[in-house]
Amino acid sequence: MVLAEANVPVGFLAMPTMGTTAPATLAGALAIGDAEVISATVLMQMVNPGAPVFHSIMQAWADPSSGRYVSYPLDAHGRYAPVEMAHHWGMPSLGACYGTDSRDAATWQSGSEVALDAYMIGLTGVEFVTGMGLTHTYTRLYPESLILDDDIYQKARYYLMSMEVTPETLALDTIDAVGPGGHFLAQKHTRRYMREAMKRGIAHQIGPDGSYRDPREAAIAQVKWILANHHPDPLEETKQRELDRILAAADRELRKQ
Amino acid sequence: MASQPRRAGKRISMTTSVTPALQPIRPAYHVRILEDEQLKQIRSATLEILGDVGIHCPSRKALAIFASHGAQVDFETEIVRLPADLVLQAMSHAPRFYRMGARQPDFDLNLDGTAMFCATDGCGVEVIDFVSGERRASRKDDVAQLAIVSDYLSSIAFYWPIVSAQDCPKTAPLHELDASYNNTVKHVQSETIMGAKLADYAVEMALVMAGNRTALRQRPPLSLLVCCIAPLGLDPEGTESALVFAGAGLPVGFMSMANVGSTGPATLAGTLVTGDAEIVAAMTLIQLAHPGAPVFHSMMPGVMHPHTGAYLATAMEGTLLYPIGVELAHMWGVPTLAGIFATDGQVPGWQAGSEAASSLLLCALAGAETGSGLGLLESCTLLDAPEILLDSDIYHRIRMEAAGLDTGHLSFALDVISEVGPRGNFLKHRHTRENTRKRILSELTMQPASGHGFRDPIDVAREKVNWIIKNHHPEPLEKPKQKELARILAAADNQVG
Repeated sequence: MVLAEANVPVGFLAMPTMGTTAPATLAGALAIGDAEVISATVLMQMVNPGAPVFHSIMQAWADPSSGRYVSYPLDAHGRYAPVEMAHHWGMPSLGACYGTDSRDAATWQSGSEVALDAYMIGLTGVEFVTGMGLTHTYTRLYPESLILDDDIYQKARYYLMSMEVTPETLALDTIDAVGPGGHFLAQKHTRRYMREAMKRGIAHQIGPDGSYRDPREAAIAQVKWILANHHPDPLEETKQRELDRILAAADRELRKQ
Repeated sequence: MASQPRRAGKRISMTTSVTPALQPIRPAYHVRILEDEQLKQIRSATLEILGDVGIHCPSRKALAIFASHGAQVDFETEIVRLPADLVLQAMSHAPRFYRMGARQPDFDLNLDGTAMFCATDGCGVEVIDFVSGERRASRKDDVAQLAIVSDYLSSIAFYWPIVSAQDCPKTAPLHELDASYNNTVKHVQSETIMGAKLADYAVEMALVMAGNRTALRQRPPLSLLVCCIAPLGLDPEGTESALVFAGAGLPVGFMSMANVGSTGPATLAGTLVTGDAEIVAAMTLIQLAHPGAPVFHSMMPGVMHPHTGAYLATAMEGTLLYPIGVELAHMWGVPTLAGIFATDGQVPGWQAGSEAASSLLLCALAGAETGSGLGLLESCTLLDAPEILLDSDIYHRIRMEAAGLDTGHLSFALDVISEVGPRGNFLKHRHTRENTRKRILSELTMQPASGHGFRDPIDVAREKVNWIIKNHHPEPLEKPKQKELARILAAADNQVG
């Protein structure tokens, strides 16, 4: 309510878990989650009509053997339906992505569970998404997971791009010049476009011996390189000082409570 | 492998298992990738290539068919140029929908555009030995054992002999059929029967399976996929096989594996039209020779690695070409065999898992009728048996994702929500018990470990493969048919081998 009054965007996230905190049918879980989000959103609009809000539902499943929270069961259809529900209410959506149930990074499970997330949620027209970089159902950080999740994100970005179909990209003159049974290696058209014909992902990084590097090792190396070499534009010093002052005040006041 | 390997092709007597019903992907929604205008541009470019550049076709038989129907044929260079009218007229005979038969009718594949049926990958050349774990050349026994596994899996609707029977070199494709028919009740599609002589034997084997020539045409138990030779070439042996198959009423498909930058132009659109021209030329030949013969279109291009020249099945943007291939097939009015599950990964792991899923979902949502590719690693060359279980798990995730959301009145459970109310819990409610029992859980990712957490899915998959081979016994082929297949194989071995 405080943030909404200040016009800071506020979102509400429902995490209905089928069978424990929500009905054991998916539509029922989405309905109860939607009711939670909408009730909170209505309150924000009563406090400050027109306050920027967003909608988010990250439904989960209770493991029937243990009650454990599961993000990626086999029958997770409708994972991306909450985005359409948000748009139905006329709000932007914070989509649920990544956050594999795999305990470790760079496993078959961590790759296969989240492989579709970025593409499918991109298709729904989601405005923003969280979840990259953590494993063990959003609780464990392996820095290399962020690189691996980014690789899946980049693939989805290319899938969703429009393919360019023009006389230049159809290359009929080049095809005519090569003819049946030839090859395109020596063509000027190949030299011109080959540099951008293949976007190299983390799985196609070449190691010193000429073979592809293990994707996890390549991702760990990339994290190290970024931390050593990438220096984002620093916050202005006056703002740093102001933040420090606010933090110190908060520490003093909240410690008393 | 825990169990004693069975004799490939001849099953020993034991209690018969029920083959689980097929679970094809039935998408509740669809996606379009290319706009109508882009499809028109590609079709126009394909026709221009066929008319002006032409196709290399080193088969005298095929050249004669082309020439007799008005194509411009140079018998010396073996280049065929196809006028657009000739192509369009021929393709107008190709059926959009048809049925592929299985040994048992419940496993027939009705390619009616409402479902996608998937197959294993095929023609791998190396195997991680099931017992020793060592890498070795593939054998007929491997084809037989993976046919049993494929028979058990509801994700596998038809079987590509997954590896090459290299221990039967001259007649390997026929031995692959024998190992398949003896170990699964499902439809078999070969991608290795090359040449009219082998094709004649294969058709004879299919006739044994079908029972008579009418059934062979109505419910063909065998189909054939032939790879074109990029750029713009038809394989002479494969083309002549396809003519034999089509003459017998067996479905035939043509696949282009043009490689962006080497056997195709270095632009995606250029490689697409090169591959499309190869496939359409071959399908045109089949329709000229046998109007109305069932054919299918298959686009599986790769991207050349710019440093090594290697064929990459899963470069960042390259996988998009697979679902576009589905749209091209439908533009020509034929079903498709889509490229799915191809991974460049060398072991079951993050790369194989993350690369596998997207192409299957995209192709299913684009309306693909069939797809192949479950079970192999290293760009479709290496069999490590657990991979087929891992791919099958991904298949079912995607099948359910594509099925959409049930929003029937009861599914909202409004009465239940009202009873439980704010801050309650649903654990004790009958609705929860009833619906939780209907849940379909992953057999791989949700196996509790001793102590806490879950077991490694790859370990679970390895055990499960062993269990299937030991415990699943598909309905054996009738003895007279076994004998007939053996007789045909012996004759082929004598004559060809």
